[in-house]
Amino acid sequence: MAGIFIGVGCAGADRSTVDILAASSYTDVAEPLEVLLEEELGVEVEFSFGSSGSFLEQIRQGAPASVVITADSATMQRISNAGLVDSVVSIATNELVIVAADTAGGRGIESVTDLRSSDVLVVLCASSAPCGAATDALLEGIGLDVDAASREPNVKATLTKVRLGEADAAIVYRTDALASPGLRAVAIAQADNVQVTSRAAAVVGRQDAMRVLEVLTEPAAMAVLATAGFGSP
Amino acid sequence: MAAVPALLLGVPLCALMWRLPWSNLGAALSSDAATSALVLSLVTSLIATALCVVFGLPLAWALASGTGTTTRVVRALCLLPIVLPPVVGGVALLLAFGRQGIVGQWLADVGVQLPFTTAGVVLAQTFVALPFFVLSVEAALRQLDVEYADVAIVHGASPFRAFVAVTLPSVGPAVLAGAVLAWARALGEFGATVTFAGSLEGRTQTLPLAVYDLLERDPADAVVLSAVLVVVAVSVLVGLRDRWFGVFRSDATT
Repeated sequence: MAGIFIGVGCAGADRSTVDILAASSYTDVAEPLEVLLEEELGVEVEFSFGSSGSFLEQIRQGAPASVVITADSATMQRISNAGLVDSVVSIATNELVIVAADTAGGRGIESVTDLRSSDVLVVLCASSAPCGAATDALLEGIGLDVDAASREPNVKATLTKVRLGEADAAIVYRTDALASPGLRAVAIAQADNVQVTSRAAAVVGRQDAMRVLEVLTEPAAMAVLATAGFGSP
Repeated sequence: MAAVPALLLGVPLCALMWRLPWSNLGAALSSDAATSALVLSLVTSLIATALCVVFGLPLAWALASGTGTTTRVVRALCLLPIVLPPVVGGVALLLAFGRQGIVGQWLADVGVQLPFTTAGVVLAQTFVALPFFVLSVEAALRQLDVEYADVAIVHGASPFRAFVAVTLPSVGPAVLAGAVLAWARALGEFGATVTFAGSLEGRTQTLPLAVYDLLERDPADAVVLSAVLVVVAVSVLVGLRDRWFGVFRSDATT
């Protein structure tokens, strides 16, 4: 028992770890970002990932995070409206892309309208996740009705179904497609595509968050994000 | 000391009921997502329970009467889904019955698809629930005096008839208890289902999946659906307790 209390005491006294709660689209870029932040700030940086949609409840329930990064601006707006964060900044943009598996149904996909074919097994993100909201906006914009086999809880779960070859195609972020070299990426026409702006903010009352936000908006961080396929805001 | 675990179990459930948004109860329950999830959950969990009974009885009997290495290996295999995280079970199901799976690719050739279908939901539920049924029935069969069945066989009954007429009635309460446990496990199944069958309203989005989805969109509605799950579970347990043998009564000796 004593050990546990000492452990908790240390964690409380140790101010040099900054926890960042990030959207799952940041999974692949977290390591270089972590290195950059640790070099610039001289503190330990710890990323944890989840679906942006779950962050509001997590922060409200006291998740140990100083900085929160959402996949889109609407989700950050809800967290901000709840009074949980301040100093919101845009750090990157992302857009939708089709990923197709090397399967009978996946090989023939050349454009987003091909997703309508009944021979193609398509999975999409759930509407409650930012990638699903963007997908809904994309399909609505071009008036396309896609019969999805599943609406997965987040973008990584959506991608996984195609990676395992269980689904022929999915709509994910460009960054996810870049991180999956085994899958073929099919671009969506620029005029139809939906862009999401990823935002970062400081959790209210976290002094250590401001420096992190500064570094995240500097050119060095933007260069790291660009290598993963993110655009500059 | 007994109060701590009792509170641990009781407080979260009370909190759920306490936070129930009574004003939008009707709206939350009558939404398409809620009703289709409720119906889908009831139908799939009951089919899964039936499958557990049909396939679990012979397996429990074989395990109870066997003693060799094969029996021990099979029993360990039966226990595994209880210990495994359900998500891992879902991955295993995909590797076996998915389109590229070792069995699934043959199924695909004959036009049978399990992932992303309601049948896939039933399969995932049966996978995680079966051990609960098999274990509780096997334990009862082991304690049974086999001589009664032997006497019936000596007096001219076939082994099957002896099993149905003599053995089965005496393990009836255990079969029922096992079926209820399996049903409860199937009703609450989340991880294996979302991994293997995905989540689509009306087809694969069961009540637990709908709760998870709603939690990110409308937490109040998620609380309502969670409460439905609790009420359904409690009413079945209470109903069973009063109707049959008193399996779950403290004074019952099974």
